[in-house]
Formats: sequence, structure tokens, C-alpha cells
Amino acid sequence: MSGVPLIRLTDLHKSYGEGTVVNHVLRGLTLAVGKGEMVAITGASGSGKSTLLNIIGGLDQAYTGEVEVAGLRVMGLADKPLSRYRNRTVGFIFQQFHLLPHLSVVDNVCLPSWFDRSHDTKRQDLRVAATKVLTRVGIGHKADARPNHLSGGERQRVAIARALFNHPEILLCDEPTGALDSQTTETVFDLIVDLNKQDGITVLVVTHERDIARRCPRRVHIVDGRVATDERDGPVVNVVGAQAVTP
Amino acid sequence: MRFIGVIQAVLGNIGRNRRSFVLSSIGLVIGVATLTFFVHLGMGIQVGVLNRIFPVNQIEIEPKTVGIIGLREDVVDKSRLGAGLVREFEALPDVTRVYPKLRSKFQARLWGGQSLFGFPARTEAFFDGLAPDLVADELQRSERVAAKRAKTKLRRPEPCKQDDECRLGEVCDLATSTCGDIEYWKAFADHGMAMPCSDDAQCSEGLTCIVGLCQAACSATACGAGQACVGPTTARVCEETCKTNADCELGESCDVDAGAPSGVSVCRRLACALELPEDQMLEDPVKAKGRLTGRCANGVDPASPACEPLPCPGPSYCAPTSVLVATGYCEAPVPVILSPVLIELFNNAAATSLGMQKIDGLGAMLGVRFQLHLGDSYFAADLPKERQSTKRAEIAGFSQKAMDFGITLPIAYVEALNARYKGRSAAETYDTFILETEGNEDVSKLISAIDGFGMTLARRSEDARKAGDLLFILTVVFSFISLVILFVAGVNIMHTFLTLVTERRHEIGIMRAVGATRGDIRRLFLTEALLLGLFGGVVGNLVSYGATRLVNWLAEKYLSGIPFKPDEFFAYDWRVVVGGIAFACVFCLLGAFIPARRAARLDPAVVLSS
Repeated sequence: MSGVPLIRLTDLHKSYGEGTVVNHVLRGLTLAVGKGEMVAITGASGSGKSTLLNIIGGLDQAYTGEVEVAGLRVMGLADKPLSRYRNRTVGFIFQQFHLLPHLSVVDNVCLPSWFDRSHDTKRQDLRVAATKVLTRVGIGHKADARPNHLSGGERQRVAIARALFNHPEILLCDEPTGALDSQTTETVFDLIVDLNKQDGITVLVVTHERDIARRCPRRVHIVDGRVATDERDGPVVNVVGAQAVTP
Repeated sequence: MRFIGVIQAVLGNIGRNRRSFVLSSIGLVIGVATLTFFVHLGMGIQVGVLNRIFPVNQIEIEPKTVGIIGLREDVVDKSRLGAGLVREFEALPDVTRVYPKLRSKFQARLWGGQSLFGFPARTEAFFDGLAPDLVADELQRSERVAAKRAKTKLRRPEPCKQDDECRLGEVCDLATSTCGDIEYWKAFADHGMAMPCSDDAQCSEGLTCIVGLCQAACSATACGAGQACVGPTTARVCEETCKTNADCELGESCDVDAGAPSGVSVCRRLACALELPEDQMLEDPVKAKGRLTGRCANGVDPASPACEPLPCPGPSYCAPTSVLVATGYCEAPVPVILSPVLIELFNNAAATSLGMQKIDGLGAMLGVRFQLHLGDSYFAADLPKERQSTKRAEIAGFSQKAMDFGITLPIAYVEALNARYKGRSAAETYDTFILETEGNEDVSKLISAIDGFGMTLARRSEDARKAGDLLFILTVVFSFISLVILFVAGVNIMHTFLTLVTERRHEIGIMRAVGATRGDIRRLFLTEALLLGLFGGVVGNLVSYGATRLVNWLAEKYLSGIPFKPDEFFAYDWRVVVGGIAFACVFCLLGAFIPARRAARLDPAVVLSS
């Protein structure tokens, strides 16, 4: 990793609730992620892992601090450019897959293209592109199936294919294997690792599974809304209260 | 959002929520169906019934009257109600034509209807006259001439030269030389009468009493185009020139006249005689034809005993000049039109009281002949016998413009008869006037203008205005009810869409996560609502169309006996159809607006983590 980080988070604060029952989830979190990194984000329940992912992904705009992704200041973006950012720059993978049950697998994968005004590809070409991505994730043969006819692992592959469809720079995975059995977990995560290694996609994985976290070259542990430890294969750097990691 | 995405998403959504889609469209369908049904009905009644009975561009006016100790008196000087006033009305702005109406001013009786009732019915005769072209359209409609012609076209054409070569009930159409159904409405025209007289005052304007008959006198140059001055030097008259008998009116013959310029033939009324003067009182159609005077079928000298008599030609009959004599002239029967109201009056009151058969439908009465006895009365003193005469009349059709209680003749007949019995001034005093205006514009200006002439709207036109206003109010009321239904449907749609937003909030979150803007989400819901509106609007129109067909069918099946029932109760207008669909869409969009806004404002981070 070198040069300007792809994701730069500075002094993020985020709280839920009002009055006396305010829950401070993020308390001055600062983090930088370089292009092509694969980062596991761990922490106890409610430590703000998913919130962090939502903020990076532009789904959550109610916070203070600064978020800069691929040179774009995400905070305060208007609805249209923010939606375009979600559409083009990041891809989400959720624990519960979040597929649309009434659409076929291939239409689910094409979903981002519905909201992508930048090009006007024909439906047939979109299907071809989607099938290609599905083949890449290993379920090209299930293109016309409905999501509810697929196994959990297959569904998550479809979700990955959807996240990949618009060639995002960053893959945001929120407990991607949380709903899968151990064997499927292995194969799905292999795929995610592969995408990082082969395609150079920057991957952020929120997980509470140690095995998964251990397979990521960099592991960020969040405690009380701050980065407690930031390990990477190699030297351990304690970053509590520190500035961004130096490359 | 790309169009393809919108369509795919919306169709997918409709596909999986078919039931709620159909259920929420029911209100729309009912609303649109009622709206278009009643608007089409209102327009249909306006166009098909009201405008035909009381055309919007025709108003009838009559002199104002004032009540003086229980009697009503005209405000206007009667002598003014003549041709001069017609010209003054014609000069009014917006007025295109003026049709005067003239009532009979003398006593008469009528009897006949043997073929209809089984015995001759008798009654006092009241009649009025109006211009034949005013009612031509209406007569054709009530006789269903278009249907008759269409039926004739379907048959193999039978060539003919004259009527008796065709089957019963058919006549020879000389234009195409083929047989066709009789069209009775054509008879309602001025065929002319031989009008006996003793001085010029007994003749209509422009005619002079020449050798006991009202005729157009001429000097050598004064005849009109297509006419020639004929007759002996003491009684020169203008007559129509002709080449064959077909060029002349019924009862006339195309002959070389002694007084005519050489080589010119003119139409002259055929003189005829009955066997006895009393024969004119009989209904017998054969005796009524009499025999032509001075002509024989075998061409021998008319004075010779070998002369084979010729009857009056075609449908004409021999009309003696008075009840005391047997000699007269061949004439076409006097064409008469009746008001459907009269038939209803007869069916509802007279037929029951008198033990007579009710008349079913108007068609059976067409062509029925009866006799008029002029100058004779059940109520008033008779005229002297030598001034009384009889005429045969034939029913030529039905019109709402005809006299409600009495019979209606072409105005020329009434003018001639009034002149004969009450003098020329009576012939020139009209009773009411029908003013025809340019278009359907507001006639209130015209009404105020005629007020200056001491005239006012006749009861019939006043009724028409009231009926039109009532119809308008009814249409507005029913349209309003339909709009209320649509409004309720809109509220129902709002409820449905609010439920849908809750049901789909997850999907909305997913779509937002993959790049949908708030506008995209709003658009998805509004497009779905629009499609729902289009669906409801189109189906509503189809339902409405089906209902209109059903009503027409039921009316044809069960209301066939009602005179002047229109074939079509509805007037279809694409603007109403489009308007119905537009209303459905608007109410749908209004109903879906708040839910769509709520959907767009959902926080994707919240819905995806819940």
C-alpha cells in the first residue's frame, strides 16, 4: 500500500437515540485503508462495526467527522451523487443476502444497472454481463432460478455477483458468512479473498468470526467506537488515539 | 433510473401483487365506468333525443298574450304576423332561416281508418301547416329510411318502369329504374290542389281566380323559369313546361296546350268525374279514382260509347270541387304528419274509452288514408254546401313538430285552404315562427331581440330549454357522484400503497443500497399507480361500453313500442374516454403520492439492519 489511502475516515462520531438514552456508537474513529487492502473489522456487538460500514457505503449520513473515499468526500453529498457513489464505487454484501425474491438470479444481479444512468446497455447485453459475473462467482448455471430455490451459500454468491456487477472499487461485507454453515463459509470466503487477490478489489469485512478475521491480512478491532488494535500480518501497531497508519 | 428498470420493476411488482392490484382497481373501474356511462348517456340524450325533438338551433316563438278578464289576447297586431315579419326575422343576426307555422282558420271534419280500426272513425279536424323541409330529417328518422334502403340494397334489384311492376309495398324508383320500399316521407311536399274560387281574395297570394280556379295569371312575359304562358286569350295562366308525364305533379298530365307556343308541352291538371257526388264520401278507393274527362284508354272519341274510361293515374284520386258536384280534378292525397304524442294520447285514453284497438308502433300507420270534409263541423256552423268539399289525405310520417292535437299539412295547403275559406288575409297571418340559427350558440340574445317584436318563446321551446337544463344538471350530478367514487377509490389506493410501502421497505432498502435515488423509489411507486390508473380507466371504459350496449339492447327488446325511442341512447366521444382514463390516473397518483414520498424517505441503513 502506498500513496493516498483509498478510504480515509477521520474522527467519526455517531450516536443513536435522543435525550438521556443516547447511545454513542462511534467516538472519534479514525482509519485509513489503502487500495487493494483486505481489512477485517471486528469488535463486540454494538461496537459500531456495521455502522462504520454503512457510513463508508453512503447508506448512513447522520454522523460527524470526515469520510473520503476514492477522493470523494462522502459526507453531505446530495441524494443523486450519493446514490451514484453507492451504485458505482461500492458494493454491499449483507449477512441476510438481501436478494429480491420475485426476481430471477440474473435480474437480481442486474439490479444495480436499473439505477445506473451512465450507460444505456440493452437488456440482453446486461444479462450476458450478469451471467459472466455469476460464472465468475461459480453459479452461472443458476442464472434463471429464483433466490428462494437456492442454498444459503448460493444466495450469498448471487449477492456477491450483484455487488460486483458495476465493477466497484470497494466491497463492503457485513457478516458475509454469518448465516452460512462452516463448510459454505469456507468456500464463500475463499471467493471473497480471491476477488481481493485476483481482481485487486479493496475489501472491508465486518465479522465476529475469528477464523474469518484471521484470514484477512489486516484486522482492525473496534472497542467503544474507536480503533483499539490495527494488526496486519507483520508488526502489530497500537493505534488507539493515534493518527492514520503509516504505510 | 433507466426506463427499462422502471418497467421491469413495476411489472414485477404488479405481477406478484396481482390480487391487491385488481382489488384496488375495482373502485377505479366502478368510478370510471359510472362517469363515462353517465356522461355518454347525457350527451346521447342531448344529441339523440332532445336535439332531434327540439334542435338546439331552432327556437319556436309566438306572439305574447295578455289575460283580459279570463280571455287571452295577443299583444301584437295580427295583421303584422305576415310575410313581412318573416323577412324581418330573417334579417336578425344569427338567424339563418325562418319557418312560419300556420293553423287552419276554418271548420273541418275527418273520418277514416277503416283498415286500421275496422270501422271508420270520425272526429273534428284541426290542422296546421309547416314547411316540409323543416321536418324532412325527422320524418326520415322516424320512418327508419336508412334501414329501409340498406335492406333494399341487400335484395336482388328488380328492374321496373312503373310502380305496378313492383311487389306490394314497393314503388319504382325512377332514378335507378329498380323497385324499392315506399318512402312515405317523400310524400310530405306541396303537390298542389285545384282550388275553386269565386274571387281573387279566395286565392293565396300571387294567384288569381281564373275560370273558377286559383291560378297564376300571366301576361306574355310574366312567367317564371321553366314555365310557359298557356290557355285561351281570356284566361292566360303560367304552367310548368314538361317533356313527359314524369316531369309533372301527380294528377297532372304533360300535354300540348292550344294556347302554348308551338312545340311546348305543359303540365295541366287532369279533369275527372265521379259517378255520383255522394261517392266522394265513400272510403272505396276504386270509386274515388273516378274517370278522366275527355280521355279514353282506347284512344277513341271521348263522346263515343266505345270509350273505355281512364281512372286518375297512380295514387291520385278524383277530388270534386264541392260536395254537390261529381266533377273535379285528379289530385295527390294531401300528405299529413302526426305527432307521436297524439298516438300516445289515443292509446292511453281514447282507445280504451271507445273500445278501439290500440296502435302498436308508428310504422303501421304510414300510408293510411282518411278523408277530410272541409267547411263542415261537429262544433261550429257548417259553411254552405256549395263551399264544402272533401279531400283525401294520407299519413306521411310522424314528427314532434306536428300539432299535438290535430294533423299537420305542408304549409302551402293550409295557406290555400285558409285563403279559400277565410280570405287571403287569413292565409297570411302566421301563428308561430321557428327561427333557425347558425350554430348552437347561446340564443338568449336572440330571445331578447324577438322580445322587441312582441314575441316570446313558445311553450315547446321553453320546455326544451328546461329539459336541456335539467339534463345538464342530472349529468353534472351523476358525474359528481362518479368523482366521489373515484375519490374514495383514491383513498383506498392510498391505503393499499401505504401497506405496500411497509411490505416492501426491505426491497426499498436494497434498491437504495445498490444506487437507487429517492426520486427512483418515488418514481417506482408513482409508475405503478399510473399503470393501476390506466388499467382501471381502460377496464372502466370497457365496462361502461358494455353497459351502454346492454341498455341499448334492453331498450330495443323491451321498449320497441315507444314512439321516437332513439336507436342509440349514448353519444360516444373519445374525449370522454380519455378523460375517464385521465381521471383514474390522477386519482391514483394523488392516492399514491404520500406513500411514494414515505417510501422515498425511508432510511436504507435502518430498514436493512432491521
